[in-house]
Amino acid sequence: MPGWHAKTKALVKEGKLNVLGLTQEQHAARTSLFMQWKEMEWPVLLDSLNLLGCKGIPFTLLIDEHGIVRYNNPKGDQLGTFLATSYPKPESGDAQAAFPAKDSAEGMLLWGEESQISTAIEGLKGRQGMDAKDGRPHFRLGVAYRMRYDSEHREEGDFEKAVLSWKEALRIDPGQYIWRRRIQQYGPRLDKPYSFYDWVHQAREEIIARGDTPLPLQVEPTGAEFARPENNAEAYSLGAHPDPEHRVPTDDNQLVSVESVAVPSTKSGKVAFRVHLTFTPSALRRVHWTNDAGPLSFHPEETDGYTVAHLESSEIPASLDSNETRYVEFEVRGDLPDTIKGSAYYYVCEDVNGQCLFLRKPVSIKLN
Amino acid sequence: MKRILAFLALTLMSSHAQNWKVGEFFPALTLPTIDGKSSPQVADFRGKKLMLHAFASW
Repeated sequence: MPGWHAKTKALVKEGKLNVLGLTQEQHAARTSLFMQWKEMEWPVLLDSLNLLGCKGIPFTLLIDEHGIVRYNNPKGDQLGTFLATSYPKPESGDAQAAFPAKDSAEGMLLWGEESQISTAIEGLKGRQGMDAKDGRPHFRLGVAYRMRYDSEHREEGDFEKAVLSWKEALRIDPGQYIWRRRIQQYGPRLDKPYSFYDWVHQAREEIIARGDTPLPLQVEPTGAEFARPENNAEAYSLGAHPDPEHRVPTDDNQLVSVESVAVPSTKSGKVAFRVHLTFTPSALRRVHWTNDAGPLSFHPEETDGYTVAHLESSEIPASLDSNETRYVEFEVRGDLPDTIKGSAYYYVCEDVNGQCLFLRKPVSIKLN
Repeated sequence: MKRILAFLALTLMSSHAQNWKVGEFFPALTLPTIDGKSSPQVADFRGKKLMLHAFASW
């Protein structure tokens, strides 16, 4: 596509050609940053819900002055022919007008406020199962759950429900590669066709180097979205367990809550998961991390028969304390049990009672 | 009723997606733009030559 951009830039400037994009991403701002990086200024429509039904990308269409497709993935010399041809007006027919109503679930997700995501989710849930062969409501429901997970209205289990919805959609239509990519975006390296967002750092550096300010991302990519494909990762060196007898007191008062989501490989016969752990300090008890005491760490209890790889934690802020949500990600592969167990350790203070503690949080991660 | 028909059209269109053949109309989509500022739609380019790229940044 950047190649087409270079070839058509002058034609667009001369008014001989118009260019329009259609992105299939969950997060629109990432496309905006990509467009800024590549200095492509044409407008881009957002189809995060896959309403158009594209099964794979990229593709390029040349559409004539009457709205008729004249070339699908044209060769370079065909553009000249397309521009030089005055196509006859068809005697009958017209393009189907296609848009989701603003008060439909899809309309609310595309045009509405974040507070409407929950209403949209209920609407999509009502459509599940109406046609057992239709995976679209499941895919769109997954997009909606992930949207809510990324919003201020996040509810417990949103990310897991997103993954389960996408899995169901892909089960119904395994040939839908846009849907497959949405799972792979968060899935294990074994299943990645490429690193999804490793270009973000380079893009920002180059935009700054030319004197511009990179467009902001509402949702920063996380570990899985940067991870590169890999077939045989070395096992993570677990080292000595810091608390093998579990003497560190457990977080019985739920000062920190944890959610786990295991995103599976979409390839059959290759068992691997990318585990996402989310740790949230209790706002009710005004809990905060004590950053100078040490980081949050996670340790699997037993790894007999399977491998743990790429255990990564979110970076600690430079401030002495903070209360942000923290993330741990790692991958497991091999002969996997239904559930794997581990413990997280963290230093926190609760402002309600003025106590600062070092605590253990047992974590149980369902893989199937 | 108009909205229901429009959405029905979208649903029907999706089931045949990826099958845009040369010589067929491309749907007159209405979707938001990524910047939320401008809103050119496919139908706005009627009377002009259009190159459409379907893609993602990954």
